[in-house]
Amino acid sequence: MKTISMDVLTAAISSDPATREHMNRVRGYAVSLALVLGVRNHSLLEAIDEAALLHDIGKVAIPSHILNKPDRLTTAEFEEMKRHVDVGADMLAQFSLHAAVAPIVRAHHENWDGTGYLRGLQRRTIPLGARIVSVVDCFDALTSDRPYRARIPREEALQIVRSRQGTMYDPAVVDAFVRVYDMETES
Amino acid sequence: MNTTAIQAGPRALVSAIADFGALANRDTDVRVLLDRAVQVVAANLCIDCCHIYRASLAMHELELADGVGRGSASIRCDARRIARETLDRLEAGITEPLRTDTALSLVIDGDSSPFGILVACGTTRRTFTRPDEEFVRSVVGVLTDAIRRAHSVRDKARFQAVVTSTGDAIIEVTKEGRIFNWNAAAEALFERPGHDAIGTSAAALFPESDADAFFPMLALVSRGTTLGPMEMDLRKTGGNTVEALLRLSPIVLSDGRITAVSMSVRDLREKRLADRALRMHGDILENMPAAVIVWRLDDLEDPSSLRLVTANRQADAVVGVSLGERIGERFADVPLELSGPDDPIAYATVVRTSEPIDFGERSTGAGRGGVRWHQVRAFPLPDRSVGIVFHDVTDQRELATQLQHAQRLEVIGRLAGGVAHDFNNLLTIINGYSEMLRPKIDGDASAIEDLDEIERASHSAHQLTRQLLAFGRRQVLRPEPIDLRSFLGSSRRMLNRLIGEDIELCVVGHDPVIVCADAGQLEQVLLNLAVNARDAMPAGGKLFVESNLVEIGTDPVVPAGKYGMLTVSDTGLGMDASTLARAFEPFFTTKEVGRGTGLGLSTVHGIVKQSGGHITVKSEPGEGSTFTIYLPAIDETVIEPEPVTSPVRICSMASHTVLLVEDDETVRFLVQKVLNRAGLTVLEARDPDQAMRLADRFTGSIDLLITDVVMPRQSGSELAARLAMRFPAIKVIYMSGYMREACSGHCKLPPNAMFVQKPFVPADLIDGVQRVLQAGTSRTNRTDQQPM
Repeated sequence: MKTISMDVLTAAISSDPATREHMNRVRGYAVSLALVLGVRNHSLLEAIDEAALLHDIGKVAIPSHILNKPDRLTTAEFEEMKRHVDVGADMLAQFSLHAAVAPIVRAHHENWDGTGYLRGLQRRTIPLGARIVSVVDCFDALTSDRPYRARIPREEALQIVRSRQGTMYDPAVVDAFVRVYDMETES
Repeated sequence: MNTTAIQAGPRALVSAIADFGALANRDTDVRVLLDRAVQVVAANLCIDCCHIYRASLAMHELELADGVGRGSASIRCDARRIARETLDRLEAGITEPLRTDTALSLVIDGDSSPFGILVACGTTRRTFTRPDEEFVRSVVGVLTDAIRRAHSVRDKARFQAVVTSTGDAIIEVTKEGRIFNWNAAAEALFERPGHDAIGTSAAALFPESDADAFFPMLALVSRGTTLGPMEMDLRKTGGNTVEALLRLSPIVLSDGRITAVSMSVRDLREKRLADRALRMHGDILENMPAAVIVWRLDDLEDPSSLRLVTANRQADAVVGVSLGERIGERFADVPLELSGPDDPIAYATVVRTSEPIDFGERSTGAGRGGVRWHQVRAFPLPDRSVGIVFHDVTDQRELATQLQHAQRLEVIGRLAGGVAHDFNNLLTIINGYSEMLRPKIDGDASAIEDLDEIERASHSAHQLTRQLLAFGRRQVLRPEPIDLRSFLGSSRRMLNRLIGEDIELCVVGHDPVIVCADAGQLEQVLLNLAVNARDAMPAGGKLFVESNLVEIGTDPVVPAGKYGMLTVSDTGLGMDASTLARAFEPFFTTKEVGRGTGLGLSTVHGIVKQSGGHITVKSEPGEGSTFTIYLPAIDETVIEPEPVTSPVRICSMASHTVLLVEDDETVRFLVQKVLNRAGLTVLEARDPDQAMRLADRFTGSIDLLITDVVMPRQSGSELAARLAMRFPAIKVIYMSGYMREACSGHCKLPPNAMFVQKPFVPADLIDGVQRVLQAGTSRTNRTDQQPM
């Protein structure tokens, strides 16, 4: 039943097979990172998998003129945009089989140094899954075309991720990410 | 035209199809089947010709693969036309057979795309019946099956070949976690044969400490997630762990079902080694004493396509840019602060020709703390790259310049010293005869006046030769431990008198600093520097004199060690670079004619060098000058000089015999004359050999040896030592215009030796002889006399 709901949601997020494939890669990245970082708990791994896929599900509640705005968002628009975190988390809290998914989604815009939103959590008070998803999501966003900019080369995106190590992102997660990335690029 | 042929009946057609199908089922080669198909169709439909064309939809091409039939070229032409038409229809999406009044054409399906087209045609009109068409359809169906079977066999073989030959272990695992397939690389990596591994649980590939890693992964992948690459430790059969790169992906059927999981495992051992080597190279690059910058030429034809690949830390200093932040940027976008080589065209040439280019020594970084010089070389690297090495040679060049300068001073010094030596002999003779002449002209006031003039001139000449000797490091030094601080203290009055009232004197001595130097010469040094400073401050100023104990580490001029440092600085006019470069050269002066000899600083330089010290000077126009002298510090205490000895008692010397050894005949003659007059018996020799012979023959006692210091074959001190064996009580006086080997220490005088510096006046010589003969044991005694 859960699988069906996941597939429905995946389809809801995007009907384009290329995008879906891309999303699946992001999931793979997130779970691989968790495994490399030593996560062995099956249900946590599944929760990270699901959260990686659905972390932006709350954006369905955000007006499309904000979502697709090519310019910089105004303060009010940005506040509106921030809502997608809680909306998504609340949705997933309702139907996800994994209790860990909603907290991950709720914290996926938090920063390691406490400068993120919505709660301003810091360091290990942010769930590991959220720390992983925020890195993967950033890399994913940078390497995808957006309404307001073209995609950035992967090598450059990696540099940006690296430059945020210890400020926005958990240093250990970034280390693992860089390693996985290097391995993938080489092979 | 085969008009006699009779078309086979329906039963025969069924039988023909059965035979053809049986042939195909025996795994007959596709080419044989095609050949057979055209025959079967032609024969059973009783038509003139049957062709099969290979079709390429993408290329819109047809190629005759097989065919039978008799007939003219026109019928073959017809067949091809019909095949082409069928292909067009196929491209338009129509797969139905094409029927004309002479031909029937069908598409032969292949594996994923159409394989080709079968055309059956004749020259006469005929109707292709439904059974005819069914028959051809069946033939084509058999062909399609055979083609698909063949493809699948080939794909499987190809896949098997890839799996077998790859370096990665590829393991197929059932959704329950059992090993289902195990390739050769897996056998090698896990040291376990396939027949042993297949059927066992893949969880055993993980170390016991990480036993619960496998099943969550299996579950995720079974759901459709692809995992990896992940670095994980896996376990060999023996229990050893292997660092591996792991990927897991689902094996998905065309209907979306996931049947199994494929696990690929790469051994990271070699990569680890390569990484280590790479890190090592990186460390070497960061620690080598040269700057390295690597560019890559993206477009071989375009030098502006150079991009920064890497650079070491040292390079940042050379180009004035933090290059680590500029990786990937184009050459033109990196603001290299190089005044020298930054020539993308030359770099591009290195890439294209794979030949290194040596740019030689280039000046770089002007305007950033002075010009630096680098030996620059560009060398080709793999992947269209070029490495530029900058080796800093600034210090080397500086040293070379200093060496050149030092050598120049050395040569001038030798010349000056040599001239002064001969001059001193001449002055000795002039003085000697002048003095001997004096009693003879007693009462002749005019003659006495003339003689005074001669002696005055001689004295001036002597002053000059003394300075020249000092500069040429050819004077005899009497080094003794001196405390620089107390030395400065006692020199304060002299300095004050010298510099006048307009200049403020500031003497600072920090700690006691003991050096080994000739006090008189050191005074000369201080005096010359003070005079120099005074002349540089015509409107007054400040003169700082400072002593200090310093420890030199690495320095281009001064070798490492402890030094007594003497600094003399003024607030005067200063010197420009060209004056500074020649400051120590003799006869180089910026003072107006008649005011300076140009020997002051040369003398200072000579004395310091001969004392084993070093001197540096810093000056800027308008900023004053600072002379710094480094004298090796010693661990000794200063011996307070003994009170001046009581006046010498005059005694008769008539009973004494002197052995005089001097190679300059005129000097020997003069000395012999002076000694004779004093009543001494003089034995004369021109060299040590002759002296020894004389001494051997002489029956009496020789009381005194007066000898030149440096002579051919044997030094004065060696001669003295030999004579002392025969005449243990013999006293020695050394004479010299200079000491040739004063620097090398080759013929040092015994510490207590009596020494007479040429030129000398007869009275001084006699005075010295008297002292020596009277002294029971002769102590260190200076009669570094000057002519008066």
